Amino acid sequence: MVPLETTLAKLREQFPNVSTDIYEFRGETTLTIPRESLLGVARFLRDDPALRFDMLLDVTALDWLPKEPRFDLLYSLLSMQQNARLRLRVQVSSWDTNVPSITPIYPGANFYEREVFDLFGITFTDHPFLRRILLPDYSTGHPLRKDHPLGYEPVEFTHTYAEIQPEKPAAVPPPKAKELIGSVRGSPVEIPVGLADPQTPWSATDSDTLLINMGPHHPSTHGVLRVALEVDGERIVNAMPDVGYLHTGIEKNAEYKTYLKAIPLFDRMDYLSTFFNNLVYCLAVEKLMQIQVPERAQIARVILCELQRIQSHLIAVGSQAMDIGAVTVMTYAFREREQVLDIFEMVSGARMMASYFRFGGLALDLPAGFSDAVRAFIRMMPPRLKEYEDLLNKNPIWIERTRGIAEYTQEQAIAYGVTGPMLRATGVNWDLRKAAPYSGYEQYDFDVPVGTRAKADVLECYHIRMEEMRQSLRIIDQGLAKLAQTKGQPYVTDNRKVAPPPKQELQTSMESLIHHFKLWTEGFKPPVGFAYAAVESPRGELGCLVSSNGTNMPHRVHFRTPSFANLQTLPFISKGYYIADLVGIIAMTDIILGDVDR
Amino acid sequence: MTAQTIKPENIPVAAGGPETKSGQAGVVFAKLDDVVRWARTGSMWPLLFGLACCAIEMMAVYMPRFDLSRFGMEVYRASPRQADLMFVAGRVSRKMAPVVRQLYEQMMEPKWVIAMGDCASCGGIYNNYAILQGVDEIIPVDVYVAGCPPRPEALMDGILMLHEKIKNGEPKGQIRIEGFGLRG
Repeated sequence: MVPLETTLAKLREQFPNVSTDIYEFRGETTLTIPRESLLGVARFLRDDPALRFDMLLDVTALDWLPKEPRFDLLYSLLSMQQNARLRLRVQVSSWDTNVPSITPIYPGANFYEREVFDLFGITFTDHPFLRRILLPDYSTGHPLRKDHPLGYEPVEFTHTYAEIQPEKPAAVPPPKAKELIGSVRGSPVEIPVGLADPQTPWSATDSDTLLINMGPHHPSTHGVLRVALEVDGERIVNAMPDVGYLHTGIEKNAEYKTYLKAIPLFDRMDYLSTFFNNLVYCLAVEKLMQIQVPERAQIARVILCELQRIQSHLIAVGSQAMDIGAVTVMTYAFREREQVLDIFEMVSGARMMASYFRFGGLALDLPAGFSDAVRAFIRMMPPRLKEYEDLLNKNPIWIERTRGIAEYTQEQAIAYGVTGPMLRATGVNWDLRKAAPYSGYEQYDFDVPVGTRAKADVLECYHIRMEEMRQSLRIIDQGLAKLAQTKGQPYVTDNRKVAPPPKQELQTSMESLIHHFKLWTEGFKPPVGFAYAAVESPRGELGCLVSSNGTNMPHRVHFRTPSFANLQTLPFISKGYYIADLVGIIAMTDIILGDVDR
Repeated sequence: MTAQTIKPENIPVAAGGPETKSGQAGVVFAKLDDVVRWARTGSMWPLLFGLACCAIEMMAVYMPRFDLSRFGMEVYRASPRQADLMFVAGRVSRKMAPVVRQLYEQMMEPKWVIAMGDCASCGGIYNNYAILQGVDEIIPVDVYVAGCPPRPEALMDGILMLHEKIKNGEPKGQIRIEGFGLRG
């Protein structure tokens, strides 16, 4: 790993006018650079053979109203070669919001810049297709700006509509669905998606291609994804995803809650890996507050997350098989999934939305009988996995429809910021559980399955997911042994500023009572600054950036979601294949639309 | 001669012997409306349509453990033209709202809607700029199922409640505030 000083010295040598404004906080480095040198610095960081910051993980912004310059534009770079992260910050004032687009260097920035444009109103010059991505095109304002209201509807405690109705804004007619067809004129790599340009009606396409709209209501798009397809006969010429049909405003809502009360919002983001959403947010806040987590809580977190990974991969494999026509695998996968959900219910009382992790540990101790239930599950699972493989691995239809479909290379995956099983299928050995261990993953013995062929395809991703489930079972087995050793130890930190005291203490200690009261009424106030935590979710790197302005509510919570980046690969990985293959390809990316749209 | 009115659920089930097939089981009189309503509850075709987290629980309902086909409901239809029941399973964003409305309008009469979960019923925990505060702002809802997400048993209870409503001939649901959800 190249020391930071060397990196900076190299940078200064190349760009003498770049300021030396370095912000170090909680072990993360943020380098502030003027916007004119953004492209040059980024290109240098990417191409220098010693540095190789070749993956752009995230682009997001912070709004520091009423300060000027108002916006901090943050680019998170990752170098897998030296296992280092660097954040570039470009400061943008409210009267000049034009920033050069970074898409020529990192094509994966396309969706991210559109998101920042949509939610913050920062304009990226020379962006290939700068349109709103999450909100409908006819909406006004940029909701994540601090001067934009939350936009909620007051809850009325009346049953008489006449009393409420005069205050309601006038109704507008719904836009016709016809207008929602995407424009297809453009190069195949960039993704022109959005509302149709009235200047280019359908008849204006001079080629033999045909436009087909797929979704947002389609049984095989795994949610409310819309794909505008340009097809030549049965062959796909271009497939352009259009997202935002499940945009929930979670990041905005979180700014109006205390840190603790925001936890349940995030369960519903990636609803197949709810524990990961909780975990990454808790890790980020713990990093910000420098809270230590007791060992028992860490082990419980690992076990529950790995159970969740199995559950998520079960649905991924099952729904992929169903999309291709093997419905039986889906029903079998759901059979096993129910058993995982029984364990979750035992732990937290909820089948899916557990909200079980708290800052510094867990909400409650693990219930009696937890270990037995998990042990029964991991004993049952290996033969069941073999059952799926018996159904699929030698099935000629399955192999015919997955091998060699949606081939993509390692370089493409890295350029688009793809993480998770999709990246590992190309042969990159990159798993955050190994590369940047959290929650004590370094103490577990497990392997990271990696693709062996030159190019990844649908079949390879399937094999990786099956193998990951087996490795998860190994981790859970080791976790149970550790859990038995920590019986009776604390499950949450004893830092009373973030974790409530045990209920019985309230009867005897005035101090505990005060802590309890302060926590539930006001919450706690982390120091000013921002921290980023990342976990390896079933879909890839799930990151959370929590920014604090010193109050009891987050200044900004931003999620770097894996589905959002992985979905961007759809145009080029589906190019040239049949329409019927597209459902399998979408299933391979294993996107969760709640994770994409947030 | 007085016609005897028998409610469909009270129709005696024939033993299935040869006399049944030869028409010897006797004659049953009932109001045509009652028979039609009873028949409708036995063959509902829901729209294969999910939005968010609740859609996963909706899938769980027709999977082996909960097995919705016990109630004659397992035939999910991807085309709204073939469906007569819509589960609004999840939060409805303002971008999605026109699509949901159009899907509803494409369904054939008679049609019913179940708002599954808190988000579809009232907006749930997301009271903000992006989410419709209840899908009944754009389409009429017959049954609301609470929960975040509702357990599969809760959804099945909602379905049976809808069956009861249909059998009893209760009036259909209403749009809460016409057009309000589509203000953009």
